[in-house]
Amino acid sequence: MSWMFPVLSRRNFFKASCGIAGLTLLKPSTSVASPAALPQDQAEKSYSICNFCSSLCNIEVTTRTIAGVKRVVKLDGNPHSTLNRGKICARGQSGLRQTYDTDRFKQPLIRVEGSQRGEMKFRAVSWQEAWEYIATRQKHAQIKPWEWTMIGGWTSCVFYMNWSVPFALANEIPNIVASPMQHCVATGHFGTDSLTGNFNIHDEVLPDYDHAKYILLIGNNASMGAVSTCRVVRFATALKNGAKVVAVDPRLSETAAKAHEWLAIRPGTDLEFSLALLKEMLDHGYYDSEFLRTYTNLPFLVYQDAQGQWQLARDAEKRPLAAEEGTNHIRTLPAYTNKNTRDVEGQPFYPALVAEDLVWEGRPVVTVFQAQQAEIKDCTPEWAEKITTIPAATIRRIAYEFGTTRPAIIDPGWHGARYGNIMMTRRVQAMIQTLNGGIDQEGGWVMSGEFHHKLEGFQHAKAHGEQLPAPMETLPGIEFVNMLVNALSKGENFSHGHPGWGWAYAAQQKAAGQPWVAVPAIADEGMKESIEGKLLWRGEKYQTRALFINAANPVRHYYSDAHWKEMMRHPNMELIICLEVLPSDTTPYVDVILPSSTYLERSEPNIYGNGVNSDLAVTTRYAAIEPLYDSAEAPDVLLELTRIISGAPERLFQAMERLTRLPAAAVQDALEKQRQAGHKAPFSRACREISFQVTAQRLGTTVENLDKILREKGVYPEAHWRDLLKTAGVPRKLPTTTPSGRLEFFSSIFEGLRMQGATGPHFNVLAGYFPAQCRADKSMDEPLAADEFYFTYGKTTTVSYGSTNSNNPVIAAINTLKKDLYTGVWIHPQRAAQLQIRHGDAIILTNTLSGQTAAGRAYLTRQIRPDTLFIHSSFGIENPQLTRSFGMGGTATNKLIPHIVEPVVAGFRSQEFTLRIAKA
Amino acid sequence: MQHYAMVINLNACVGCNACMAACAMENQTPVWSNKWRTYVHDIELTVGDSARRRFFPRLCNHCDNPPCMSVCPTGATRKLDNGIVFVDDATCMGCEACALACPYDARYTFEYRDVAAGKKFFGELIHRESPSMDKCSFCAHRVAAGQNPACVQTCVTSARIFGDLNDPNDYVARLVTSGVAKPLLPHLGTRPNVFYIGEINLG
Repeated sequence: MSWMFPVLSRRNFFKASCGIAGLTLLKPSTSVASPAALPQDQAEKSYSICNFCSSLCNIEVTTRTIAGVKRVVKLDGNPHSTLNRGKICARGQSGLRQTYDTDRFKQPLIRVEGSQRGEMKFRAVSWQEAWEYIATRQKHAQIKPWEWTMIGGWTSCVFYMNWSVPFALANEIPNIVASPMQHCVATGHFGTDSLTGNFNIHDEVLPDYDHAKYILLIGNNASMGAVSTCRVVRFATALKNGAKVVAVDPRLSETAAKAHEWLAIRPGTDLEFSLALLKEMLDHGYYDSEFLRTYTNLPFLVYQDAQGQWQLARDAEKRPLAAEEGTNHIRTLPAYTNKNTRDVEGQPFYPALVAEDLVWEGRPVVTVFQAQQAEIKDCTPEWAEKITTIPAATIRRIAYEFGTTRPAIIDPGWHGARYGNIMMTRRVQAMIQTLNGGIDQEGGWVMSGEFHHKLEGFQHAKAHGEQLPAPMETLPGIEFVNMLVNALSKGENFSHGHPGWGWAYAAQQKAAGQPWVAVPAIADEGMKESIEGKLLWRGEKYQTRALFINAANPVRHYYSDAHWKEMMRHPNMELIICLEVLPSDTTPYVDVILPSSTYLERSEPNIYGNGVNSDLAVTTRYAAIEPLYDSAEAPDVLLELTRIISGAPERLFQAMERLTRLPAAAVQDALEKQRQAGHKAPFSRACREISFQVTAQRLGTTVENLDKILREKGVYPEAHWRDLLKTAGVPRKLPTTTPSGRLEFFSSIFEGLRMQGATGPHFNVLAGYFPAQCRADKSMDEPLAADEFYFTYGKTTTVSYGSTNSNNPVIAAINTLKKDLYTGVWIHPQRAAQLQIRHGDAIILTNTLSGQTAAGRAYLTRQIRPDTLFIHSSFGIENPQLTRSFGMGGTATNKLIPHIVEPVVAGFRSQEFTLRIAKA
Repeated sequence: MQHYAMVINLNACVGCNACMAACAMENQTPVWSNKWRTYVHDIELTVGDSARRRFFPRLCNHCDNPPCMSVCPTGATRKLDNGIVFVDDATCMGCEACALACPYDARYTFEYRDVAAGKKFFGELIHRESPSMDKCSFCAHRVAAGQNPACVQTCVTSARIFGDLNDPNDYVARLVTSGVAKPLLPHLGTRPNVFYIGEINLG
C-alpha cells in the first residue's frame, strides 16, 4: 500500500500537544470533549523511602494536582541515592497502588458483638469509640502489663523500633514477638553474627559486588532474584565486569539463571557442601594467612577437656594465649583488640596459625586453626558428594577457585530457618569469607555506613570508659541485641518481676528436663503455653491475654497457620488489636482494627540512616499526599495505648529519651503545640520536629539546611564508604563487636551459651557437623519413597515476604500472567510421570512428620531437582477481603509447616521433613 | 536528528518484572485486563535432561519498515522523525489490522471497557479518553523531555539500554555496530530497532 502519510515531525508533534511530559500530549486539543477535561497540571516531585523490603530504596515520588486533587502518579528510584542508584523493582514501582488500594481499611473497626474471631464481622466506629472500647476491655479484664504481647512485622521493626521498645519498657510489657527473627534475623544471621559481631546481616552487610571477581551464592535467591535492589544494581556491575557467578540451589532460581554454574544441591545439605569447602581451603592453604593470624582468633590456643569439649587456654586474668610463629613461645594476648600483633606487654608478636607439640600447664594445646581442622577432618569432598550430590571434583574446583580468586564473595541466603543446622551453615560460610580476608574490604563484605558510624562511637566510649547515651541509636551490631535481650529477659528489670514469657518458658522447660531454647529472643516459643495457662512463673500462671499486632501477619507467615489461629481464638485471649493498612489473613482473628496510613501519606516521625548503604547518609520520608482516610500513625497509637495501659504517657517520653535520642521535655513541648494547632498525629509530628533538631545538631548544620537537602535530594550524605573503611573498617582498623574484638572462629558467644548449660552440636564453639533430619530414621542420602519429596520454598520477585502486596493490582496482574509458574507446585517431569501427575493436575501434599496437608497444582519443570518440590511462598491467601490476592490460588506454605524449632533461638525448622503427594 | 533504539542484554535480565510495573504506571496500561506494552517472559529451555531459564523482555521494536504502519488505514500509526513508531489514539479506529500484521505481537486493544476501568483506576489523571490500539511508544513523552523510557530508567540490572543510533559514540550505537546486539526475526525485513545481546553462558 502506498499511503502518503503526513509525517509527524517533532515540530508539529509538539504543536499538537499540550507540550508537557507525561500528559495527554497525544491528542490535538480539538478532540477534547469539554474544557473541564483538559487538566491544569502541576507535576511535583518529593522524596520518600520504599516500604516493600529491607533494601529500603530511596524513591522519587511524582504527584500531579488536577482539579484541586493531588495524586501520586509515579514512583522511581531516587537518582541521588548511592544505595539503589536510581532503580526500584516491580514492588517499588507498583507501590502507589497500595495507597490507592480499594481494599484498604478506611476507619477503625470493632468486632461485631457475638461474632467469633475468624469471622470478618466488624463494624465501623470513630476513633473515640475505638479507644474507649480498648480502655474498657483493658480495665474490665484487668489485663496486667506482662499479659500483653506486642507482635511486630518487619516494617514496624525497621521504622518504629524507636517507639516499640520504649513502649514495651514504659508500660512494663516484657513481651515482643517480631518477624522475621525466627525466620532469618535470629537464625541464619546469628550464625554469621557469632563470627563478625553483627546483629542483622542483611541490614548491616552490603557485599561489594561491584569489585568482586567471584561470587558464590548458596541457598540465596533473596539478594538478586527476590530483588534486593541495592544488591542487584551492584551485581549487574559484577556481571558486566565478567565476575564468575556460581549458584548453589536445589532449583533454578532467578539467581541461578544468571549464574555461570548452577549447582543443583540436594536440599538440606548446604552444611555438608560448606564444610567440605572449608576443609579444602584450610587444608590447601587457600586463605590469606596474614589476615587470619592478625585479625581472627585462629591463633588462640585451645585444649580438649575431659568431656572432649574444646576450651580456650587462658591466663589467670582470662586472657587468651597464642604461640609465636617459628619459636613456639607462648605469649598472652590482649582480651579485647582487633590485632594479634602485640602481646599484653606491648611487644611485637607474630602468632602462628599452626603449632606442633605445644604443651601448656601440662596439657597439649593446639591453635584454634588446628582444632577447627580436626573438628571437620571427615568432611571431605567425597563425603560431601554422597550427601549433596555435587561431585567431589566440583567441590574441590570451587574451593580452589573461590580461595584463590580475590576479591571474592560468598553470599549466603537470608531465610535462615529451614533446617536446624542452617545457623551452623551460615557460620561456616562466614568463615569461608573470612579466609579470603574479605571482611570490610573492597570486593568483599562491606559493613553499612551506619554500622561503622555506631562502631566508632562505641569504641571511643569503650576506650574512654564512657557510657554511651541512647543505646538504641548508638549500639552497633550484636551489642544492640545484647541490650535488648538483657532488658527483656530479666524479671528484675520490671517492677512486676516477670521476664518475657519466652524466657520464663525456657526456664520452665530446662527445669523439667525438656528441650529448651537458649536465646528465645523476640520469639513465639512458649506463647501458646502461656495463653493456655500452662506456663508458670514463680509458682503462678503467666498468662498472655492481650495482643497488639503492628504491621504483622503471623497467621500467614508463622508456623503453622493452625497454631496461630488456635492461639488467637483461645477463650483466655481477652483483647487483640491490630494496626494495619489492608486486610490480611490475620485481621479476621482480631477484635479491633486500627487503620494505618501508607508510606506515601506519611512524613516519618524520625530521620533514619540509609539502610545497608556502605556510604553513610541520612534520609526520611516526606508525605507525598495527605492521608486518604481516617488513618493513624504508629507513634500516636502507642502513646494512646500507653495512656490506657499504664495511665502515664510521660513514661513513654522518658523511655524514649533514655533509649533513643529524643529529649523528653522538647518532645512534650512540641507535642503540646501540635495538639493546640489541632493537627492529626500530633505525637508523630512532634517527634519528627525534634528528630530534625537532634539530627541537624549531630550533623553540625541547621534544621533548615537539613530539610532543604532532604527535600532536594532525598538523602543527606555524610561519608563515603572508602573513607569509613580507612578509620572504622573491621577488623583492620577497629575491633569488631565480638567479645574478643577479633573475627571469631572459636565463638565466644556459643562458649557463653555452653556455660549456661546449653549442650549439643548447635552450640559447638567451632564449626562442626550435624545433619539435617528430614526423616527420623533415614539420612538425607537414603532413597525416598515413590511419592515422597524434599521440600523447599522461596519468594517471587513481586510479593514481599509475609506481605499483602499480592493484592496490589499491578502486582496481581503480573502474577496472573505468570500464574502457573508462580502458584504451581514445582515437580520434575520424571517424578510426575511415575506418579501419573500431569501439568496442572490438582494434588494433595502431606507432611510426613506432622500429618499436615495442603492442596496445590502441579507445575512440571526441570528447574527443580527430581527429589524436591518447590513452592513460592507468596500465595494461598484465605481472606476474601483481599480481593485480588484471594482467588490467585497457590499453596500457603505455612499450612504444611509445623511449629518445630531449633534450640539456639527457636529458629523454625521449616523444611525439615518430607512431603508426600497424590493426585487430588 | 536522533534515531532511537534499545538494546536488551539477556545476560543481565533477572526477570524481576520491574519494567512491566514501571511501564504500566507511566503509561496507564490496562493492568485490569492484563494487557501490557512490554512483557518479561520466563522461559524454560529443555537442554537434554537439564534446563536453562531465560528471562526475555519483549516490546514494540519500532521498526524502520513497520508492517503495522503499512496496513494502517487511517494513518494513526506513524513513524516520527526520531524513529519512534507512534499511535495517535484519537485517529485510530480500532480495526486491529496492525495487530495482525505485527510479527512481534506487540499490540493490544484498549477498549471502551478499559477506558471506563481506567477512569475508575486513575481518576481525573487518566490520559486516555478514547479507545484505540496501543503499544509501546518508547515513552515518547519522556524522551521528548530528555529522559529514558520508564522501563529503562528502572531496570535494576541495566539490562535495558536506550540510545541513539545516529550518534556513533552512543553506547547503544556502538553495541549495534559491533554486531554483539542483534534484532529479532531480521529475515522479515522489518528492520527493528530493539536489539538483543544473547546469553553468552555456554553452560
